[in-house]
Amino acid sequence: MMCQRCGIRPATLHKVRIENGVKTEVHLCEQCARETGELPGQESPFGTTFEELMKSFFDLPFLEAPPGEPSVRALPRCPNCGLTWADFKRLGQLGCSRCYDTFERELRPVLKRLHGATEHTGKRPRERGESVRRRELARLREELQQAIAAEEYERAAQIRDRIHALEKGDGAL
Amino acid sequence: MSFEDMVRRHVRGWIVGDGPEADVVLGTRVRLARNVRDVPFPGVASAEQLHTVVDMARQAIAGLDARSGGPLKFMRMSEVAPLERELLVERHLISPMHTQDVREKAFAVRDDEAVSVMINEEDHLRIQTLFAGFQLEEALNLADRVDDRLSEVLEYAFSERAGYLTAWPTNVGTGLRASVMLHLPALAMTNRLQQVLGAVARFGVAVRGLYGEGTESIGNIFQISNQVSLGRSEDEILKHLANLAREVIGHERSSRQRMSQDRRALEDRVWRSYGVLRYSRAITSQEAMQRLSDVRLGIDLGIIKGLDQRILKELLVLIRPAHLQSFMGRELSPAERDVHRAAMIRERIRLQETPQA
Repeated sequence: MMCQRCGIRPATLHKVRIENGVKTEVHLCEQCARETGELPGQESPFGTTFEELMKSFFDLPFLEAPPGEPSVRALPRCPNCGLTWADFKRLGQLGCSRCYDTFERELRPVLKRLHGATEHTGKRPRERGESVRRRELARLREELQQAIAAEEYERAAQIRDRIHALEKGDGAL
Repeated sequence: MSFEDMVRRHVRGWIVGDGPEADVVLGTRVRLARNVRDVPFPGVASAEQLHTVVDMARQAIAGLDARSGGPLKFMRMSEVAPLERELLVERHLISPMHTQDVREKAFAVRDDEAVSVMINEEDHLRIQTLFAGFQLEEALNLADRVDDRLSEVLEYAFSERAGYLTAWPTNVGTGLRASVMLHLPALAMTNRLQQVLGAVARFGVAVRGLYGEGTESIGNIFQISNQVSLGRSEDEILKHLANLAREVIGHERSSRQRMSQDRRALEDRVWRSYGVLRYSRAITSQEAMQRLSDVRLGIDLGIIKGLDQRILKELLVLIRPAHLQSFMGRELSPAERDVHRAAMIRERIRLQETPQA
């Protein structure tokens, strides 16, 4: 969709306004959005429109807890980098790879909205991932044999499930 | 250094090559975002942590041989002169962001500029490949080879569920951003640009100007790229983008065909633009790009003969401020740049031109 003001550049800012029951849509490119005051002036040409987009996510009702759950969950701080959910809301960026675990529940709807999906189906780090996986599988199979030999069947069942998960490719390493 | 040496020094790789569908597609770019496991992303990491990433990346990149997309020349951004940094931006090798606050940032590039890596930009590693023309698969294959080799040395941040973990949630999953750079003068002249680009944008691709997000489209050059990076495989993402790009290419070609039926108006416009480029003594980059777009269309449609079609791509880089200043060996005011830009274009046309029939 092109900018409705200049008609030259593609629209990157989309807003729906309802005033006195009348719905109006605004589609502007970044430059026109700045010129009309819809977007505050910023220097970097990279990432500005996305920041706007991210900010709009956090004003949406999906962040409210579903019925029956406490309305405020005490959100943890990422144990690896120290980022809080509030930091993420401010920056739009995550602090480290562990943040994806720490804020998994909060991030899922964000990912769903951005990508229409939450599960990766593409490439995996090949060599290293595979060799780590192979080593892990070999270790677990050995452990399974030991557990069976020691007649620890409960532990054996747990190890067996872990092996199955790894073989299917959905077990974390 | 002669003018020709200077041109040879500054334009190479995708800029001088043609590639498939070169009448509409100027170039193809693929980028993979990768991070080192558990080390905070560049926006949050300490100087010490970033320093470690630079060292790890340097070692990993040193291991790239010809089979794995290398060899690459590695440099710390603090050792790259400010003007050289701008040159890299103008050649699409680094982002403007990578020129700011350069401490603990680094960059690696192959001699032909087809492979490059930004270290500690928004992610620890951004692997990029650039090809002339429409070559999405080739660009991904090359990026993959680099990525595979690096992944043997670096332990990437990867989760089975969310894929490659990135600083921005928009890049998570494949970490892949593929872009096709399109020259669409006929769609622009027939006022169908809005309709066609608007249609593909509704199918989940981003449409941007030449220098990325938030930049203007100059010279009727647009980039279209995938928006989704999670939940689809790399191949699916590329196929989807390629199909939409082919739609746009088809519309541009049919517009060109229709336009060339009303030859007189078109020829007049093409030759006027040629005249401005051939004879002006000062020209802004905005006007130069528009005129070059017209001239390139004239070459594509056989109106102008004896001028290489690569003139558009070459000049689109050479007339930018850092390249002009690098050529002149000093800083130039905007007014001086307009004068030198006009001279550069005249010289380039003179070099390439063979006598007109």
